[in-house]
Amino acid sequence: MGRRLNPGASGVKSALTVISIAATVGGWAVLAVDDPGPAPAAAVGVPDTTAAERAAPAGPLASEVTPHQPPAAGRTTLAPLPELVSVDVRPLPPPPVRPRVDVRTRASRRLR
Amino acid sequence: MTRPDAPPPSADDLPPPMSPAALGALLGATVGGVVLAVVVLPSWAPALARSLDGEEPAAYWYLSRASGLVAYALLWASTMLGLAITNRWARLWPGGPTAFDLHQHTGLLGLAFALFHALVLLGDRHLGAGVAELLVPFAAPGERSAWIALGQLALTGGGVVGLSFYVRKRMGPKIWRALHFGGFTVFVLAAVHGLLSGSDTQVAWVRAGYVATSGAVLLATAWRLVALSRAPSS
Repeated sequence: MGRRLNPGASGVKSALTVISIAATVGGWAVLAVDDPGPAPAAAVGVPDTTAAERAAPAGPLASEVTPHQPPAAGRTTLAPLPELVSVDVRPLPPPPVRPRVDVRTRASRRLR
Repeated sequence: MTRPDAPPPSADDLPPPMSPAALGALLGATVGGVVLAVVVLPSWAPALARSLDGEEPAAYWYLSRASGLVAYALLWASTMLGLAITNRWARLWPGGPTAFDLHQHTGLLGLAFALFHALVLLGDRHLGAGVAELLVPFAAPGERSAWIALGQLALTGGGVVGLSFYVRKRMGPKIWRALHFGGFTVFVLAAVHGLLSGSDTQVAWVRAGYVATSGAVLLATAWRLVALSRAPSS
């Protein structure tokens, strides 16, 4: 075996072993420090609808315009038709931007 | 045993307690330990503790990633030392016997770290993998099963090559040599496994490391092949 061939390399071998262990523990520490921890709900793409609604300008949304209701039963006189009202239907507010999730975070990690 | 009536040795007769190199190493280790305890540890300790906390501690995952890179570096070092021996570069530095000794040591140490890289994931509850899924090729679930299998094959092959050091005399030089060439395949499998399934391949310096180490092995192998082709046939 090599040990008998060259006992003088034992110091280098010990140093290599210590460096390897230190590198593994150091790598663990670096990865742990880089990990931001559990992300809040908004950070992983859950839309904050309350904030979106709050930021929207005044006016009815398309979903809030009620369809024409039929007359109630028993009524003999027709009520005058309401004037056509042009409803300014705004486009829906853009969806919240989904933040980029670091692949190294705990939330997205998988066996690679 | 000293005789009770023997005169005590004088201070001039005693050898120095340690060599200057050992004294330097001790002082360096002391300074390094102080820096680690005073500067590094307080900033790392909360993150390390956090990685061990919770229902699914991430520490096992981090240890696996770190030890995988260390195992690859050791495997590369072993491969390069082996090539340095056959290319006779080792005669220039660090010498044939030392190179052979370090070649064996780095290979076996890399094998140990590769085994740790796989088995430490047994503690990862998020992954929930068993021994068979971690060690048996193609047993790991998921879309990256094939790339993971390359690492599992490298581990198996590395185990065979590494353990062959211990039965070298029984095998005979021809069989051992043929088996030892399998070390090249082990390195290629490990490199492809790391490149295509490693979580840290997206990091620029890690990717550059894979490219540089693979290129170095490729160049040294090409050198060896050219030297073989030019050598007179016996």
